[in-house]
Amino acid sequence: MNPTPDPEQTSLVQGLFVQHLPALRGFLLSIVSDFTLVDDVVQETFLTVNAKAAQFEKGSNFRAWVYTIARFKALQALQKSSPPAERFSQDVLEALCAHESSEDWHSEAQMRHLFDCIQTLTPKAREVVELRYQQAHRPPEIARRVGWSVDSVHVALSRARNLLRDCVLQKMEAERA
Amino acid sequence: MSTERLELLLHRHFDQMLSLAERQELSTLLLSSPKAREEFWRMARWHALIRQWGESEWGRMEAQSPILRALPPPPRRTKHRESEKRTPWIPDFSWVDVPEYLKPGRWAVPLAAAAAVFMGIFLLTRFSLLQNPTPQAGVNAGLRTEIAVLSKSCEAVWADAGSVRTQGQSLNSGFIRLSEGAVQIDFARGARVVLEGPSDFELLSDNEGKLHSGRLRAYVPEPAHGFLVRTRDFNVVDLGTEFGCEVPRKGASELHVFEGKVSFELPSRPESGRHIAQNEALSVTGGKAEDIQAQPARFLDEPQLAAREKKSTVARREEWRKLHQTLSRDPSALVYLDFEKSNPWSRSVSNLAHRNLADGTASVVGCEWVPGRWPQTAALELAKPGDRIRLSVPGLFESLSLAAWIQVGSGDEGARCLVSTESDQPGEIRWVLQGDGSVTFALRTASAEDSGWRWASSPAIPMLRAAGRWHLLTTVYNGATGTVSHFVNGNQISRSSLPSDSPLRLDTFEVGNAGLRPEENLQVSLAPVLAPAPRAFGGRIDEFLILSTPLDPEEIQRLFETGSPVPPPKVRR
Repeated sequence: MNPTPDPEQTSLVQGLFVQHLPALRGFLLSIVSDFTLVDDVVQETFLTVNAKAAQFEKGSNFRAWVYTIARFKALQALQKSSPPAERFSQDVLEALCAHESSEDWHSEAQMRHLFDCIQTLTPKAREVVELRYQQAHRPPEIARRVGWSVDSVHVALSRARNLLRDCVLQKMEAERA
Repeated sequence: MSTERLELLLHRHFDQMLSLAERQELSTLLLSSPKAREEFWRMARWHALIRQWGESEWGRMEAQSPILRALPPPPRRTKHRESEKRTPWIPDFSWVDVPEYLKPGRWAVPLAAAAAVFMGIFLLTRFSLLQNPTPQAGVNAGLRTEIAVLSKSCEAVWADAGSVRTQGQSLNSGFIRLSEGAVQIDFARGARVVLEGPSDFELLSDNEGKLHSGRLRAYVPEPAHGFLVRTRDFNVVDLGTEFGCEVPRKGASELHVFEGKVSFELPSRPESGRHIAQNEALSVTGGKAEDIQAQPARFLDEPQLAAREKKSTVARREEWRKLHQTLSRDPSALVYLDFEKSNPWSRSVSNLAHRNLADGTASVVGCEWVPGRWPQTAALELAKPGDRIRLSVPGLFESLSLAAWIQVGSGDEGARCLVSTESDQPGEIRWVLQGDGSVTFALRTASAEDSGWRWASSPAIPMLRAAGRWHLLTTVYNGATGTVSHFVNGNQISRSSLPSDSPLRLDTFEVGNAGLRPEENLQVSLAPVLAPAPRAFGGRIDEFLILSTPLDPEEIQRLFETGSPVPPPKVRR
């Protein structure tokens, strides 16, 4: 018998990681505002999960395990590279994480409706949303590109998020009806 | 606290706009109010959903961009879109320069594909030292098509972690934010720019950039005529030239022409256009241009940058030599081959290890001498099936650390032997780079089952099979804990349990080949580890080290950082 559990265990853990990846990214995007940093944290988390694959017990709560690692990695990354105004302290992160529900982050239907709802935004609002969410620019850079003030960009983004949420929820409701 | 205020603060959090006072205010709210935390997650879900939409919609802007319309579409986009329909929640990594063997369609199981692609990205970003530490280019990525290459980098300190670029990295449109040092950017159409820190330069297309602040010197060969540099105070179009631009954060911007001539205009006044000739210079502020004296010496030129880069590389190489003197004197060093000081016709390499227990040399069979990873150093290329390096190290060892700087050659993707003993005794070992890019350490136990072989592999690391790049592979067998740890470029990628009932032994062994033994023994003894037949390494080895103690992760990181000709990226503190 092969005494090393690695190949199967590693592929089990990698498979679970990929399964949880969308929610994990969502979770990290919420606590780490910087999109680039989120990618780094996901990678760091993957590295650790991979290295500790042997410690994961089959049948135990993978999500809890991986989120603990991710939270730790996020905190480390934030402390290392973000100015204080851009990061939550450890106690806030812990309070938030304790409150985070395990329900699925998004459904395929939500994403489908979001595609349609984006089309309903005004051209300028859509441009701002694209600059922020597709190209990952921060509001000051978006302001420069569209010739607005930074506050106007922020207001446009806030409104767009609310509009998109209402639009998707409405469509979900209509679909259920 | 009103709901409106909470919402406002949350929106500002998601837009990275909170001031320190607002962050504290929001933190207090989140700590004290479960309702605030609930609202946080409710809004977070929408924020994340829209970002996911953004990530999966990358192609749209590229298609709409007039700049990029003339360029061929990014490869794999369509293919990935198809797979995206099947697995919509897997992030879109299609813009990354993924090797052929990672492309969708070569993988049967979507999850495995996603894991592998993720691993590929992970390596492209994390392990590369090397080439591509931040392919996402995230915050300032702009349109994600490669339009330039960072061809030189000298003591570069980047403005933030997201700005880091390394030498040889392909660049997309977006910002180059350099705090200190200097880099050279080669645009796809041929223009070359030497950028000095501190500078904030935006790549707009393969023949256009915007200097927001800082200093650059541009060289524009014939095919790149029309190269455009924008600044806040003027635009300059090359007409066959060498010129410099300086844009301070405040005050007048300057244009200096060193060779040929350029076309100059104020941004919002096309009628202001005029030609500026060789040895002329302008100072421009508030829409007014004044003639000044051209000062070529103020702008770093290509030869100066090359000289600075060379000086820095030589200094790093000396650091590496010091480390390796220390390593070779380490009481636990069993083998240390640096492949230096060898004549092209030399058929042996000195084992520089302190505990050089045998006759002191490694025999080189076949193999070619080739340039090493540092300038003016040598490496051995093992390309033919019979190429091998043979050594003898007597003794029994509880632990072993194996390290090699390798560059895999192009060709097939079979399993390749890095180290193979040939004693057929319990305790003998194999160190193998597998066809999928995973690394295997195998040892032979006294058990009769499966010829006694037990092994531990790392996850697949396809980047290791990418030809032409140097990687440091390190594997540590710790006999005290019965574990195997694999490291790539200083990063630990796996740790597995692998108990042994016998001490490890090397005796006569080969580096870069499968050992000499009767063919039938070879097949039987290696069958579990190597399938199909074992092969010579098929690449270059620049340095090889075996220690009888387990190196710790910090030591391995140091081995990598000091041994890598490309310095680890620095970010402004």
